[in-house]
Amino acid sequence: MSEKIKTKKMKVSKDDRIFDIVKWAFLGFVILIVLYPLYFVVIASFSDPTYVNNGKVLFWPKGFMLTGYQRIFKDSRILTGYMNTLLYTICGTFFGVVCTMLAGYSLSRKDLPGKTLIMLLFIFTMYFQGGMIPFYLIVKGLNLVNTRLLMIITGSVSVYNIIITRSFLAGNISDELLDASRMDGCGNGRFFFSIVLPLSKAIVAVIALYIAVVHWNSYFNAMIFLTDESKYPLQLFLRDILLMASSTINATSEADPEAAMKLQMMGQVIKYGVIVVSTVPIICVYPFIQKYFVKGVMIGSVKG
Amino acid sequence: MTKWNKTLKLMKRNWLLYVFLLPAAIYIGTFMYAPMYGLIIAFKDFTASKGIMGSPWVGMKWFETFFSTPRFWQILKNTLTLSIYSLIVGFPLPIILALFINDIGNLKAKKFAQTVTYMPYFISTVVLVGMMSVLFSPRSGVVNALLAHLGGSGDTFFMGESKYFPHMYVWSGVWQSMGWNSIIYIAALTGVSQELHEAAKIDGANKFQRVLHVDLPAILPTMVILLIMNCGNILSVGYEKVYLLQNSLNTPVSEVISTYIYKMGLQQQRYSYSTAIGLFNNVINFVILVIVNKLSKKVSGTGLW
Amino acid sequence: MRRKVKSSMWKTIAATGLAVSLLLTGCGSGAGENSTPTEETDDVATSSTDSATETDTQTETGGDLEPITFKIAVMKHTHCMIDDFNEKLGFQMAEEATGVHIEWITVPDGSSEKVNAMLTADLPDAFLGLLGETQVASSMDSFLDLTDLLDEYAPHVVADYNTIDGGMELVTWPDGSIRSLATGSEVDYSNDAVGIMIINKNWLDQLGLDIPTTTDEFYDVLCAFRDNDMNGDGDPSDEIPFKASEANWCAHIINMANAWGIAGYSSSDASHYFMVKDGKAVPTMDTDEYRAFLEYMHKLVEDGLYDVESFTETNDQFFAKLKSGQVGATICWSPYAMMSDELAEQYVVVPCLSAPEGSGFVKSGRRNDFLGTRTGFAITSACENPERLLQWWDYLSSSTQVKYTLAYGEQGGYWDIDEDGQVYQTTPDNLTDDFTVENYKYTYGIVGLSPLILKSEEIYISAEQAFSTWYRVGMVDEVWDYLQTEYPPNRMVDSSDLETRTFMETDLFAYLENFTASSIMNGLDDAAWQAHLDALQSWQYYDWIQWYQDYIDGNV
Repeated sequence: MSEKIKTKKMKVSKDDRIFDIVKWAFLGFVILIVLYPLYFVVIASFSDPTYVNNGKVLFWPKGFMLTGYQRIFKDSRILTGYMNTLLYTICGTFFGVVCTMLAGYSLSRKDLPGKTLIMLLFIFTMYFQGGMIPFYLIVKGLNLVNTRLLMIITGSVSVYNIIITRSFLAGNISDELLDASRMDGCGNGRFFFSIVLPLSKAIVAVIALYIAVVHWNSYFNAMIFLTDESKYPLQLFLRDILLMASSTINATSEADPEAAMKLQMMGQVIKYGVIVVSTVPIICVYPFIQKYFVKGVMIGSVKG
Repeated sequence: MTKWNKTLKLMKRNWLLYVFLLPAAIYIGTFMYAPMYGLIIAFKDFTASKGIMGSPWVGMKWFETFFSTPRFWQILKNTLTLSIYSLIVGFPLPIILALFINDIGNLKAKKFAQTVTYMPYFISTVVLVGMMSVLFSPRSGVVNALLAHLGGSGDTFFMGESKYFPHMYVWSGVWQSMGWNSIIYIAALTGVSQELHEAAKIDGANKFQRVLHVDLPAILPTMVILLIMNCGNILSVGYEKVYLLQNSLNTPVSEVISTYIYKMGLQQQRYSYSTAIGLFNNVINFVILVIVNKLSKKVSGTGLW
Repeated sequence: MRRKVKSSMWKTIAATGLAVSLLLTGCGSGAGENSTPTEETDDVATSSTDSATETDTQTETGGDLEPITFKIAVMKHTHCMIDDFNEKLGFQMAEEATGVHIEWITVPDGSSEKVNAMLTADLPDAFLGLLGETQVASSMDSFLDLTDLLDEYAPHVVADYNTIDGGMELVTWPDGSIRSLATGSEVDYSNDAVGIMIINKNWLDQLGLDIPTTTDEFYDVLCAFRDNDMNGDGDPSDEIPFKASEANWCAHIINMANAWGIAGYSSSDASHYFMVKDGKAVPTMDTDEYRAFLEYMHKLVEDGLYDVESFTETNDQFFAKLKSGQVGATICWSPYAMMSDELAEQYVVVPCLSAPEGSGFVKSGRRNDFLGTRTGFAITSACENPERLLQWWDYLSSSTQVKYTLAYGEQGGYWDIDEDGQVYQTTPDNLTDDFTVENYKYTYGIVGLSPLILKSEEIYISAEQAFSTWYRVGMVDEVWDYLQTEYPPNRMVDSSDLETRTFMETDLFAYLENFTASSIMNGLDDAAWQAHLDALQSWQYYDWIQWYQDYIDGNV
């Protein structure tokens, strides 16, 4: 009898070892594949672009130079851009998370009449949009052209995020929990704020991250609607820099190829630095988000 | 009658939930539904001076034009190839990654793996494609140098030969977004109770079985939802990366609907035409979404609505 | 005022945190603050005649110098370091002289979406440097017809145009209207010859070879480049004997077809797809010469003489390869613009390269190519007083000095005039590494957006001031005689005719580019050539050529 358990246990630990080997092999491979190009971006940002583009930069910077970063940080617009992006990201994320959580929770409730219709109406907009011109007219009609408010609002609410939230909450907040608290005389409002929210930190964190990243990377609405450079987000300045490095000469500058070529040269020098400068802050956000991914935070209370 | 009464009672009791929906509903109403009338330019010959309402109707002209272009089937085939390939590879890998990362015991190693895999998402497409061109160069690229060491020819023309194009597109996409896409699963896995794992352990389940029977069911609803949404995007292959990866050698396999819209429509200010192609695209997408959603509800009980 | 509104709005958000209130205050408090006298929706466009009569009376009562404000959307170049265009001397002078104040809406380079949104939904009084001919053609009514106003309100502009070949025709649409005025330079000699082939003379000298004049000699030279360690780095295999680049605007391989007598009138591949001979648009893509070119290039690829990455690389990679001194021969704008001076010195122009089976060397490019942008400055239907705005533009066109001040900043900075009236280039004082001459030009001036600078006003460039540009002029001298002499005309086309042509182009060009590239890569046999001839039919190649024939004949 005990012999049998022992062999079974041994078999289990042997299987586990195989699982671990596969796991570490997979993770090791993935991390290696991911890490090298990231490392490449960093060393390329310190290297002479001629070496980079000739494939001469492999494991350490070659033709070490800081010109790229100097150019970037000398540009006073970068600081303005950072401040604006920070403002838009923080406010927009707050606004977006509030809207998404509220809507996602409501739609996760099975006892909400009309939720199917509302859901369909929401999803419909993921597929059918009127295009830029009517959107522009609406924004203009609301007097939001060239305002910071517009930068905060647009892009904050996405049906995709609402769907994710809804399905997460539907799976994690059990009906019994709702019934139990209703017995205690707890209304919808209190239930949401004092029970659902504390149990849903993980999804709040994910949604916040999703919205923050959209705000951090967005430039299109800024390009269309902002006319004051003092309101430009970082990405709009950086886009200029990346565009000039990559785009072939366009019709407007064809009359001045020398100027265009100088732009392209400058663009080459700074483009990897631009990636580093613009992504380090948003990458630093992740560890704070990860805090909420700790296992088993909610389980006890949900089951209890 | 009683059903109505019950509904009314529910609506009354849950009135606050409708208030909860208001902010999102107002946003969607204002920024999504209010401009939606713009879609009618797909059936018009839009010019800026006449405006959306004032431009003349042309019926189905633009759709017919699109269907009759000699490249229609080629473009459709390319689009489907890229998106189905992306779905097959890009959908399961983040799940596997999330399950493995979730299984790492050491907290620091876990966070490291998460953070590293998440970072490529922030590299802009322009730089990504530029980097690919350098790293995969047949003359001086590190990939070919590596392949030569491993006994390969070392001069594979990854960026030029059209047979490599789908692989380059799909795998660079996986590289860039695998970690990002795994976040939602990692978050969902936080909901798995440790007790369940312990119980399974006592029953003699090995790790693989525990992952299969404890972890996987916990993220199944999320998986299904994301799968449905991915299927509903089957004709949407993002334009930017394809456009940047395009060159004169690979256009027969790299022209997709979105790049065609860009070249035929937006680049030449043909808004009606591009809106019509886009509308066609999304109608198909939406129909597929409805079908897949129905199937899923039947099979798994989970659906978008 | 605006700030106050906003701070109260912030309080509201903080207080409730709900979208409802946020949106409501957004609508309520914002109302009226952004309203402008020129507010318009896309549905109601004031007709030009209405506004003309209205403003006539205004001018009579008000007098010429009464201050007036216009809104103009303008392209802001990436090199420009200031935000407010009113800081530019040229515009300050114009405001002083005409009383016209401009409220600028700057649009960064490459935001055509914004321009299109403005065209439909938010018309300014005028666009400067933002519109292409397609945009004007497709929404003609959005722009005022200036035909009847020009003589009275813009005499300098009219006088300028009358000195040009083609005259007012240049900016006149097929329906007889003038919707825009030209900006930029009438001609730029250095631009006439687009991409020019250069070869490393040091390498030739080492091998004791001459500059090749035929494709066979060129082949032999490339073989020698391939087989020897030309750059002396100890590695005989890292030389790139010949390369072009599809990522660079003027380095496309199609320029090599010049040796077989096939040339374009611009740098684009498409301009090589037909040639004008004795007033006839003649196809080139179905000729034996083109086939010979493709087969020759394929031989270069097979023998490792042509860098196949030319088809896929980025512009950055192209420059990097040139800079590294590995390239024997290439097609480019000018070596000095891309390489270090020591390296650039090694290169010389290959003036003429002809193929035995061809009809003789013809260089791509266009003599005295009109380089202005004909839709550079366009007054829209939203403008209530086009007369004053025209007068403002006319002031900017009134003399060479004013034009140059507007284009490049104050006299004595980037430019000056000698006693004969010849404009010549000078070097501004306050340049640094972070504020280059390009920054100077685009910050204090608007370069190519100024009113048309005539050929007679062209700036003189000396070797001391701008060596690279000066050198480029010398390069053009060497190939000038081989430039084509016949081209399609430079005439406006109305939108339906334009549409007919462009509808054929997207698919046709994609096919031809792919055919050219893959034939060079993989070779051509009789079957493939025959398939190509059939494909030309089905991609409407001959319809496209016919369109150009009609255009040349004036029937479009």
